[in-house]
Amino acid sequence: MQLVHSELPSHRTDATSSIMTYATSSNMTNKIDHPQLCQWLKSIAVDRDKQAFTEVFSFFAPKIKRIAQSKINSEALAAEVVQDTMSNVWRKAHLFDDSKGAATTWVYTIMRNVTFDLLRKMKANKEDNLSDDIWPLAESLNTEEEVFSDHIQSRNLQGIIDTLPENQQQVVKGFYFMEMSQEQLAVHLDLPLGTIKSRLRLALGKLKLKLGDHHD
Amino acid sequence: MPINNLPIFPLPIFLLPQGVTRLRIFEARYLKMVSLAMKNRGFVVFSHDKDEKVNPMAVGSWVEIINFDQGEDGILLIDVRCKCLVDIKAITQDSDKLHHGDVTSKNHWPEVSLDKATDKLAKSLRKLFNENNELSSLYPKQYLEQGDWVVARWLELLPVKLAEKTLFVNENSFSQAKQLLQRIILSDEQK
Repeated sequence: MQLVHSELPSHRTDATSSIMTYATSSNMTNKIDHPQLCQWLKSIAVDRDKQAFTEVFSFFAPKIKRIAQSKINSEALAAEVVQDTMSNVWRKAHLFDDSKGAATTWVYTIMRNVTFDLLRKMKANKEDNLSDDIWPLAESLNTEEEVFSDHIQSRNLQGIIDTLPENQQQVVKGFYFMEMSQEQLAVHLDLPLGTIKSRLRLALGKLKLKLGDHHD
Repeated sequence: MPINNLPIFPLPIFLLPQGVTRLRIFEARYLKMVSLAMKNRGFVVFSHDKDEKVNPMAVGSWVEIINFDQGEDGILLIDVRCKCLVDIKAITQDSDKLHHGDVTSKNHWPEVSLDKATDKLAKSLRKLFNENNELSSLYPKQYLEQGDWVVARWLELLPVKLAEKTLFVNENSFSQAKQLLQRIILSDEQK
């Protein structure tokens, strides 16, 4: 629940520093700790390691945002690119192969594809390009429908989150919502994740059973 | 007594009275909402997750802004605290696509002191706050001697679906909420 961006601790770059500058480095590209980045990606792929994802996020997010903003000139869209890119990184970390190239190259390639996707979709919605809404819902007349849009989960990101297994959804959501993941709860209670999962399932099952009669 | 024309923010979060959360605001209409909320009477978080194909109860958390900051990425962060739950009666949308609603306030759980179960839950919650700076920074004052406060905070933090959490917006749902937490956190079985 603690993963609000502002609190991400380490490896933060100065907002004014150039794109490839690493926090601890006054040099350009050559001081990026590539083995460390690879290690984090591996931890994400193998262990679904959220701490590693946090590190990767705080390393790449400001950079991606700056690049995206310079390309598409919209802060909201740039934020979108960051979100889409990073959720792809989370989802596809197992596809990263460090023998084929640097982690930075891999992430920036994802970013490029995300950006192209976005621009393509924008073109399809040309009349709405100037709108603050990134993915206008063609503002349906139905107010109930309309209420469904929100600032945090763009429809696009939502689509990606939908495809994640539940525990991975929790991680992505964890960046915005102050709610524990099942893993965090397991750690807190010092219990295996499986125990937590089955307790949740059983407890909710009993609750529903109880409410079943008078709830739809 | 209806309260008219409060800005509405649909979000997939669950916040009971006295609950605090941090939000990132970057869409134009919600920046406008924040400035309205600062001048006037707060806004309403409409608990809603479009993932969950359940008819949403038109219940929201009427919140006030208690703190704000700017994240390192330049995005506005606000801390909000729930004053009370409200039933949302009517929703309109303005030219900036911000929703406004007429609401009536809704009673929630009465204040209760700790019993055996909530005392254990309070200890577990205290440990969680101690381990977690961000969480404890949101709650400089913790009411760990109040059973309703302890159960409400635990419920907000629990990794269960919003649709399931919203069962507990009802005034008489306290004992069920407590029982759910006992089963999950304490593994207590109530016969």
